[in-house]
Amino acid sequence: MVRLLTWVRDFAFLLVATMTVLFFLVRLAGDPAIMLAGPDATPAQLDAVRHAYGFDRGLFEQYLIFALHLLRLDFGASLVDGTPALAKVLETFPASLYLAVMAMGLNLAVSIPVGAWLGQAQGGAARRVAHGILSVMQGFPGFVLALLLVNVFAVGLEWLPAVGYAGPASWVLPVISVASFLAPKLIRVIEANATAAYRSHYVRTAVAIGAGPRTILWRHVMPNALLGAAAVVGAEFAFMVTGLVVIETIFAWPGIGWLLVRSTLNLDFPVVQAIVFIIVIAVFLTNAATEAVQVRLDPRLRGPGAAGGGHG
Amino acid sequence: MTGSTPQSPILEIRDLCIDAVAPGVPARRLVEDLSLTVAVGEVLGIVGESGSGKSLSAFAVARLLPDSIRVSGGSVHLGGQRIDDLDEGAMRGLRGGRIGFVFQDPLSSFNPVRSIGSILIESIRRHQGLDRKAARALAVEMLSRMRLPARSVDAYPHQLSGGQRQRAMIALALANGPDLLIADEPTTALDPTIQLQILALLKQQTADRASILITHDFSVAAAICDRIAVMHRGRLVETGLAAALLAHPQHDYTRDLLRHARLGGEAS
Amino acid sequence: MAERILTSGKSLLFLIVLGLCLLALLAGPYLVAFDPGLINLSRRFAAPFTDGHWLGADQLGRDVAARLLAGLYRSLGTALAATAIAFCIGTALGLLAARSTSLLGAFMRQLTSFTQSFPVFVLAVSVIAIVGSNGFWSVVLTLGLATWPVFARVAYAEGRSLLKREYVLAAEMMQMGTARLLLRHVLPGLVPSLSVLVVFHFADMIIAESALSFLGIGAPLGAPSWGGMLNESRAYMLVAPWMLLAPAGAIILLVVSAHLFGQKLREATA
Ligand SMILES: Nc1ncnc2c1ncn2[C@@H]1O[C@H](COP(=O)(O)OP(=O)(O)OP(=O)(O)O)[C@@H](O)[C@H]1O
Ligand SMILES: [Mg+2]
Repeated sequence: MVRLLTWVRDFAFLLVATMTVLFFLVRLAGDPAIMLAGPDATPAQLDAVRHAYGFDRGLFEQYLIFALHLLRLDFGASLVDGTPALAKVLETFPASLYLAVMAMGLNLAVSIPVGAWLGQAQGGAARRVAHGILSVMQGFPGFVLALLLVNVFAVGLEWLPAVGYAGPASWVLPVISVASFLAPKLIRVIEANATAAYRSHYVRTAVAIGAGPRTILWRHVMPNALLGAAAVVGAEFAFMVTGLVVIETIFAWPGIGWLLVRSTLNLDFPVVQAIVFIIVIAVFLTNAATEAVQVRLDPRLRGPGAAGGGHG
Repeated sequence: MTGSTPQSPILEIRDLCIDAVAPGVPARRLVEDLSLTVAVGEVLGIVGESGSGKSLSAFAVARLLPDSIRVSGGSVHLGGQRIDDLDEGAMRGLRGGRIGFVFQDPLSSFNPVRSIGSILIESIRRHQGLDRKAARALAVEMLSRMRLPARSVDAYPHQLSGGQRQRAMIALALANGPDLLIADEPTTALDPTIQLQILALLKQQTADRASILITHDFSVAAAICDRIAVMHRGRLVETGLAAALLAHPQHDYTRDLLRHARLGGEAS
Repeated sequence: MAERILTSGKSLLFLIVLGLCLLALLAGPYLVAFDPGLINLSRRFAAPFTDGHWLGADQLGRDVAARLLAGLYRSLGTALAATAIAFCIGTALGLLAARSTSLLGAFMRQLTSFTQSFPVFVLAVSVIAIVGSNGFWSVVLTLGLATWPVFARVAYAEGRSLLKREYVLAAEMMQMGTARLLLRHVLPGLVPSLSVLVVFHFADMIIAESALSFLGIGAPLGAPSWGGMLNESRAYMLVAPWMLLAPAGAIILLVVSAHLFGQKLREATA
């Protein structure tokens, strides 16, 4: 109950803070009327726009109006086509979610076995090579990799479409691009956790009850290693929005990042505000979900339960 | 139970040598020419200061050593059969089956994210081939024999007290009725009052098997061991029946240890 | 220790790359005979090593090497300035929050925990969208102001544990002023972890700058920048792959070598 309350409080604080900062940035950045009416509007036209959008009122009054509209989830209309800004954003959200989920799936599918393999023992030429690749990949700029992939597989070899959002073939490059900057970090974390688990006393116990290497890896080492990596997976999920902004633009993937860039270039700030609003919520929910999953999976976080009690 | 006449030994260690090996460094001898026997119903205490090689010697019996440590000589026989040259698969059959281990720190020795029961069941099914339900029933029975409530089968390590965890550890070691029980300082991590309970519990389980109890505490050794072996810097210093050795130590080192133990006992 | 860090292969790569950058900055104007903005349609898509175009020419016949060099100024300048801003603000606020147990501390903890999970790049894009400027400094300021919590978090956490240490307690008993206490006794203890952070942040800022100008949000249209060059290259990947490979190679070399150096530094200071 207390947890829920602090959760709601943090959530409200974050939303209010972000939207307030954003509001004042918009209003302080310059005269939005000029953006709206265009650089060669007459003073009379400018006045008309100011009045129509309420820019002629005091800043505080404007903020109150903005806040009231926000309570009704009303961000105003897109300056480009006049459709409600929030609806426009929500329309693009599923595409981003697909991409994020697919990329995370690929990320997990690669990181878990590779991390497990690297965690099993030190040394060996293959592991050294893998470590070298990982070191380089950790710093590799994702969008540059995406461009190189497009150059090779779409433009050069013509195996895959370079852009678009139609059919599995068009998913391959965006998904690989996003997963490629998630995987190195996750692999490293899983490897470190697995290595630590192999040195632990509970793995010695597993050996002492006769468990073989496979059982030890998958039933004794990896549950711990993956549990430790759950926080990283959650953070990567939240962080993915960053990557999506550029990757979606490169692949013309009609998601929220793509819309953000287009709205930015069009100075369509109602849509930008709505996007930030949605992203704040999405990130917050992701963090909350991560925590909830950790609590579900980790018996230590569930608190005392079926304890023996009584004699010690 | 006590003072059982030594029968043919279950465990026989002959001239065991253990080295620490590291790449680029000459091997370092940790245990030298150790020979020991333990018979059915007998409890052998291994006593010695920290670092004298007690744990390594005991773990070497089931090749439960880290990669950086090698057995470099000698032989180990269990029930008349040589086991130090067994392949890894056969050795796995012995670990947890014919040889049970109790470790020093029961909290870190249980996997924090797996229930006590799941580890027990895993061991029982591996060695006795029971189905899940039967294995679970046996796990509950083992736990209750260690005076743990049936519901502790679903408990996680952090939900039990230190003493309860060590009882669970003993249940795990005995789950498949081992011929040899090796307990490495099973009470060091526990409160003094609980130590006695655990020792009594252990003692009850030693009747029809060979047991090794590792300790650096002579009073613990005196309480439940039939024979005592004293180790110092990787070598066996002396060995003898518990009462005789405690009353008339032959070796200077043993005398020193005993004197320190008595001084420590009086001071506390 | 410094010797050990600097003589490892990973660091050597970074030092060589930094040296090359410096060389390019100093000697570039003598090596490259062209103005980065000079349009010469007769030389459209000139291949590398033809007509004095070391790295070829782009769709308007502009010299790729000259533009790459001009982009280097912008990238390095943006990354260094943004890192410096983030470092100063973040370290100062983090340390102050570590020192004060009251409201400021609580506020800082909240803020850094939020910004930890908030996609800063999205914030930067939307702020630049709203501020609507394409200037060098608006990018620098936005990146610097959006990313300082990275430093604040570490300065706060490590500052707190340092403040509990004995010599700091001793200094405190001698009634040292807060500023002097933090500067003389706490900041030096933070040098190892903060310097690792600076290296990684520098790499991140290089990526952020090029990503922004790739999207057409950072550098003004037509101004030479690595991101802008990447964007322009997309239409001509088949005819003029060097338009892609030159800026991509430059970014990768700088960022990856900085990252390797950062990893080495972290291992050495851990
Ligand atoms: N993994 C290892 N690598 C190298 N040397 C080791 C390793 N483990 C133990 N040793 C060394 O082997 C010697 C004997 O260790 P062992 O654990 O058997 O001592 P012990 O008698 O059980 O001591 P304690 O009472 O502290 O448990 C020690 O000197 C120790 O330094
Ligand atoms: Mg020991």
